Amino acid sequence: MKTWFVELVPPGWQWVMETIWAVVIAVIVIAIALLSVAIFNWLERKIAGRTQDRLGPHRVGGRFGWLQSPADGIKLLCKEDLVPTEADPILFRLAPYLGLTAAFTVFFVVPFADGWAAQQVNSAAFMALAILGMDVFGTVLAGLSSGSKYSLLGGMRAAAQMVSYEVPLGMCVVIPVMCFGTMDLNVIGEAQSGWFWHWGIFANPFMFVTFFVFLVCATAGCNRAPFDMAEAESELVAGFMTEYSGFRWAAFFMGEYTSMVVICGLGSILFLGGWNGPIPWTEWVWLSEHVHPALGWIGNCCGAIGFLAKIYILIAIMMWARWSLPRLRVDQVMTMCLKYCFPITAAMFLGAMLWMAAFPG
Amino acid sequence: MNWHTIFFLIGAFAACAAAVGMVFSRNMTRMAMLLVGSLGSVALLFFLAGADFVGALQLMVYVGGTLVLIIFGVMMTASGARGGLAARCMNGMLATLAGSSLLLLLLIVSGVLCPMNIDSAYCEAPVGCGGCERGDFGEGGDSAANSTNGTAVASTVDAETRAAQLVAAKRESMRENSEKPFPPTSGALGSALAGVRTDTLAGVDHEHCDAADETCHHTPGTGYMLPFEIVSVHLVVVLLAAAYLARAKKVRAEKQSTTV
Amino acid sequence: MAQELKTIELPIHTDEMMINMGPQHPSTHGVLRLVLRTDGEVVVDMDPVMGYLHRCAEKIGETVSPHQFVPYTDRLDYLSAMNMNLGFSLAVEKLCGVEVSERTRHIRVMVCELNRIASHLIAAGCYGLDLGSFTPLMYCIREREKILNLFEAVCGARMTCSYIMPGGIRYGDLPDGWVERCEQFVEEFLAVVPDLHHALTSNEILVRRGANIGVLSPEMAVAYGCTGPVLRGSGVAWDLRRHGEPIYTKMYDDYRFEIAASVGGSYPKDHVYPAIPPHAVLGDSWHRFYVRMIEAFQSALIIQQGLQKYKKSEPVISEPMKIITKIPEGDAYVETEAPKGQMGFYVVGDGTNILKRSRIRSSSFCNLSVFREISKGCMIGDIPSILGSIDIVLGEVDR
Repeated sequence: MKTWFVELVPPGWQWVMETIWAVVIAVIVIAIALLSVAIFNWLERKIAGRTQDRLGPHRVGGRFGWLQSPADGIKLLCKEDLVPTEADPILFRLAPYLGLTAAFTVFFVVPFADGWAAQQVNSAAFMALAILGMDVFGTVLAGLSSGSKYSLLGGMRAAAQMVSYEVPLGMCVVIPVMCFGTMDLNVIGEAQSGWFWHWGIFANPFMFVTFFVFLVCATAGCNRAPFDMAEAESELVAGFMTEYSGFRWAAFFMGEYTSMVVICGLGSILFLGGWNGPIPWTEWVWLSEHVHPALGWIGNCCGAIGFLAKIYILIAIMMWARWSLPRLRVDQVMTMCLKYCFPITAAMFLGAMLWMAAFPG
Repeated sequence: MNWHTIFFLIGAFAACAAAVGMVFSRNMTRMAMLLVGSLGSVALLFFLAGADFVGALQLMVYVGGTLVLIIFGVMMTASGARGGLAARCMNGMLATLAGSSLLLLLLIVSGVLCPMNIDSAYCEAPVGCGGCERGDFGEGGDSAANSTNGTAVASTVDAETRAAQLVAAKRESMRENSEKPFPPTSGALGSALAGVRTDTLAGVDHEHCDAADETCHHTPGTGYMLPFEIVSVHLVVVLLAAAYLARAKKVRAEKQSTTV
Repeated sequence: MAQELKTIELPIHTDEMMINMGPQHPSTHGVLRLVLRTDGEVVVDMDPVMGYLHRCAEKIGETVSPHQFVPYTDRLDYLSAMNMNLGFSLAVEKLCGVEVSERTRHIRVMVCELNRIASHLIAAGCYGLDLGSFTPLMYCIREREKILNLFEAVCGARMTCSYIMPGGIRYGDLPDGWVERCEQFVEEFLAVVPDLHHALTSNEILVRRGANIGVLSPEMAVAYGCTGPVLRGSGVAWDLRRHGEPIYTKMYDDYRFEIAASVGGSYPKDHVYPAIPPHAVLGDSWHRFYVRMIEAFQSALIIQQGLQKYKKSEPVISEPMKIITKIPEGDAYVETEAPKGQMGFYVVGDGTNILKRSRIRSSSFCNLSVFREISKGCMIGDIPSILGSIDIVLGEVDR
């Protein structure tokens, strides 16, 4: 499709079309992410409401109160953007967008369906982790530049937590990479096509355990409750976000949800078959590239919807946990990482290696 | 001039500007963030060169590294995160000395500078042997090829033609790869760390020069196993030392009651 | 002090940081200000600063008649207004030598125990909220709303009741159908308690956040004048409903309940409560919280007894004293077991209808005084845990 689009113009001007194509794709991906943020904002409140024996937002209008997210967005845009006198004016303004940009950049390598990635990179899994690690800089920068002690503590906590949880999270990614023999997320997704027992999570018992450790580490990596040390409203007021208001605050919010989308997307590709449904129904109705490219495209659309559905389910689980569990203390978060998550993933790594040696193929 | 060049210029300029800014900044937070910016721009350059794995590694390692730096900086400095830092005269002189010698080393290794008493072929050799001959960075390629041709007098004609064929085949595969924005590199890197240089296995350097030749010190089969192991042992030592420094010391109860 | 301080001595010292927690802070339960000196995440020293809600309640008591002062007592511990009313009323009644009828006594016991449940529900829910768990609070609030509906039915007000007055209660006998509604509430509440235990008491994370945190030894608790659940959480079986003044204990004489304190390592066995986790130490945050949960359950049982006794009693209701009623010369001091601890009212009469002196011993104030001592060496994240388990109300601390 890209080739067709680019060849609409004479050869000397094809770079213009390539640029347009790239911008269009980027806008679509960012729109998906931003729309997801709006939906998650609503979903989080609804899940919180239902968990707490109440209705959740329904007064603003729309069916099931869906207008709540647009209303919130408008409200946040209209709010005053305050910069405290004590704050470092440049870094304070830069911080929210840094985190947001890092989270969005990961979409660069995440395939939404077979071949539907902005760049098909050979080391995509590793690259996603590396860029996702940049996410924390927004948080740390906000903490350091706000000129508030709560923010400083929140930023420090975020940095310490991120550095620690990157290790087990990386190990959790290494295990499926080892099992599938590649870091290319597209190839990993392809390898899980067919029935759901081809999914990574069912590949061997060690992968099954690894998935849950991954989910815990992903929650911690996104600074979500019960690991939301950086925010910890009962201890640090709002942690790194204490001094933020209006749109900059909203940018943090978007960054948090986007990184959740990305990390859940990574999890669903590595463990839950990515865009492959539980049953290979697209094969049965000939929605395959081998029959016709257009049919393959439709099949890919269905796959992308399935992929998004898996992300939504994983995020709903994260929200469920957030509204059910109390927050851990900061040293307990570290203990959990270093004493439990890391040894478990190391053991799973060894186990998966032995399993592959014992049952090759 | 294409997008590749434009982004390369942006990345290179950002890396240099951020580095200079970091040196001249007096605010710890800004320094840390400029350092991150500089290292991140270098990662961008890696991505542009098609080295996705090395670029991701750059992000991964330096993100963690700089984060730890920030944590320690904030914890250890008396004036906190936002205080100014001023280096003393002696420190400044030492830093200038270390910095300029590093710069000199870099210039020599990259082949820009060539001291008189070192053979010119040695200076230029790494460019030719590195195996990266993408259009944007391959300026040294021709001269390197000339120098290797010049030293390979002892080879037979038969071997030369075979070598030429191999070179042509390799160039062809490189051109194919370079059409993809990100040719697979992680496999080759992994093999090299484990002791097998896949890029030299193709045989161009091996077939081309004899063992005594200094320009071709990368014989196939010797990868980066030894450096890798040395670094690993070094890191373990550092970790142990850090754990030793940071371990909690038990304090006796009597002593405690007097201090509290 | 017998308690072992757990100080972590590190060769690497970081700079100490001074943090002002409050007066506007989500987990200081109002306008309490805590000045923390921290070394990294560890609280080296802490100083609670209070007085931001001082409203001269004691002085006002010397300018209005006791009848008019009752609404001010509502605002002391605004989460348990009935108990505040009762404490003041008993003090004035003791000074005046007034006796209330049996039925009035039973009504007082019921509304006070209902209010104890309401207060403990807020305490338990906020303890969860302070530790990052928002959901249990909403379930606690739901139950509390039912109690407030009952209060609304008897006196028209939900929080600031002013129902119990010196000399009796207002508005005569209980309204029609109130007894049935109350019975229904108690049944529903007893059914909900296991859920709350599940979400809070035996929640693994909450246990880990509360166990062995802010350990208060029985000796220290007594020395600092801690009372109520804070004292009983340290294993001292002292409850004014059993050990108080005759005018107060008479109300509870024919009620069956055990003091909710760990005596000899075991809590009352009138009901199956969740097991004590292995890491919990007597006197820590978790035990203070646990005592409240047990007390709330026991209060429900007391209300059940009260309803039976109310039905059997003679329908005679004592009327409150008038505004113009002269207070005899002399003084009287009565402490009652309010939900937060022992609430004492000291009143001096001089023959007019206005008190010469009125002084208040606040339970939250005394409990708060031990906060600094038990929070040294804890982490910043433990401060809400300890404060939540002490359960203060700033209206009462500052008066």
